[in-house]
Amino acid sequence: MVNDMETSDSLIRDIEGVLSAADDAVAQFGSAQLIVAPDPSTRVAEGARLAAERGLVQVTFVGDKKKITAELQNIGFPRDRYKIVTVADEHQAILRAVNLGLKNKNSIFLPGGNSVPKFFQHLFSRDSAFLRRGDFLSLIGVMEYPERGGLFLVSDVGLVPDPTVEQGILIINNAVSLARILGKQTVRVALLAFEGEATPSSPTTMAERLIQKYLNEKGDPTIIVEGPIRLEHAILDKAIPSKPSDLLEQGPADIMVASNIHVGNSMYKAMMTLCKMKSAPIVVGGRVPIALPSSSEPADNILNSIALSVIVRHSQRSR
Amino acid sequence: MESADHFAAFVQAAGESSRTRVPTIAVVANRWNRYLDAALGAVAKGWVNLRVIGQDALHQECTQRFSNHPSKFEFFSISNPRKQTDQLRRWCAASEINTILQGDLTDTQISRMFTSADPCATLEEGIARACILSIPTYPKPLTIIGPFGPEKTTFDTMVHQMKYGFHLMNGFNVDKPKVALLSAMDKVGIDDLHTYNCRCLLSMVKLEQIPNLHLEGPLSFDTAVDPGTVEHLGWKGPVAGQADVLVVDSRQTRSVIALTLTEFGKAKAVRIILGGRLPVVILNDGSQAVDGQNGIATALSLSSYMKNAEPLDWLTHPEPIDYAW
Repeated sequence: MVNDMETSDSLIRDIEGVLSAADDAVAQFGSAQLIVAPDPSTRVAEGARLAAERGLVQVTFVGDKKKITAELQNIGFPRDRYKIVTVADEHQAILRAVNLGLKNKNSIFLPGGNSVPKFFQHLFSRDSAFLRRGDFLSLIGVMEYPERGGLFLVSDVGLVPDPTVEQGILIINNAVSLARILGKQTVRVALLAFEGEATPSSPTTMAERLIQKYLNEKGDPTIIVEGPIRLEHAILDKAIPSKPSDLLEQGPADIMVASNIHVGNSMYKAMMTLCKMKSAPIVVGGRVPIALPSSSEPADNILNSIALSVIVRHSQRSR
Repeated sequence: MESADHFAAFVQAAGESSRTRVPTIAVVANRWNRYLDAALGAVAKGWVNLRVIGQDALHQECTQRFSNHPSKFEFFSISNPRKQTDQLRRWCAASEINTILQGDLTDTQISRMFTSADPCATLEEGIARACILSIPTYPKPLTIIGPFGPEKTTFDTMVHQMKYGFHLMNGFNVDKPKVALLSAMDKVGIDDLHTYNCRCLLSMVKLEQIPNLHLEGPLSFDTAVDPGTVEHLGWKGPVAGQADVLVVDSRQTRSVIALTLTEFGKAKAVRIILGGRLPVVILNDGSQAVDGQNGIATALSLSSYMKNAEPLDWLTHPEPIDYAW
């Protein structure tokens, strides 16, 4: 039987553990290059400052030098911890950031402004080299919930509007990869729905059942998928697998997959705002991880997000 | 700041109403279940009288369990689903009952009960599911309203949900409720019909064709309920950061947000189906005694408003294209 406890040496159990693991990665490989574009909002600049002061990153801001300098002076960002690449136009600033990021194996991205959709429009534009054929990006929230065993992942919380069955599988693949980086040996995946059965009147539940069958029959015994499943059932101690298996210990979901962007985004933001949970959101699936806090995210969460991106980047490098 | 239990006032009111005229609740049950447990609790407190519709086999068990309150309990032996709903409709039309507990009523039975031209049976067109939440970190009750069926909302069903949100808040004495049309982002998405519908409805409010309602949308969850986000974004609007009602795009969204807040945010929830002149209380599988008590007390508080409410005369036959431009 595969058991988290048996392979717990590298298992990260909380957000503090994410920060410590990022410190370790930096000690081994050196600090990462955090590229922020376009001009940062105050909160983004504060998050970057926290990461720089911790020694996790060296920061490169790409954008309007005058505006950036004013913002950084405003929050007391130490002058020796950043450099500025001047590109006044927003689209060109993001393209320049992409070029810088792809050249450096230690780089991670952090969108600067408040408009995330605009950032991705520029990032995915024809003249951007960011996406390769076959890349599939998804946004994952890593959430801390000590009452039920530490960290769990929620996806997709903001990039894939209405996933097809194929995209649902890719969302799971990305999340499983991240769970592995966080030290999870066995990964239990819950496909969330409003009911626990697939019914023809609800195409979402039928698609989830299809994904469950496909992935469970695919053969990796350390990944088990349950769905459709209600959220309150997914977090029970013996939720997954629902039928006891010789290969896998039962437990709560490590990854919760939302059926569409409205479900995932609202769920993540409910956890962050009204449930006051610590989190670290990240975009994975591309060549460079993107720390992607939402506009309401406190600076601490931005630091968490940067730390997680550092771990992912160093893990990509090790591979 | 931690806020109070928002259901406490309803529970207190239910206790006080029992000293005057005792209301009656009805439940359809094929076997003893959590709904009958909740009803038994309310009967024992003297809040309500109970009518049970069910199969013969249940009669004896109910009589035994309600033996301490024989005058407050009636059993009606009806097993045919259609006849069960007909019976409920008759009671509803004659104002003999104040609240229904869902029990073993199926979605099909509920649809049949509330899709009728009879103004005694229905309040507005369509049916909606509402979840009223008392969240420790939110200063007032937060209601999430979604469609009744498993399919996603259309423009029409969003209008129904908004109307029921309005009624629900009026039933709670909130005269001009703040309604947020919830989405993943605060803008219209290129290929997201739901966000277009949100914008169409908003344009109606700007034309002052939806009265007595503050409406904003599309709004993301944090913009709708978090004053910190609103301040950070510099957002100016009557709803942002302080929504009373969230109208959502699907049953999935309603269910997942509500469960997120109850499981991770220690919120208490009351779930209600809105469509008729009476609220129908839903109790989840894992619901506890306090959830049943809160559900019945909240529904009783709403029932007199819903019985006498006038159907709203705005957007009676909505066509989104009329409002888009």
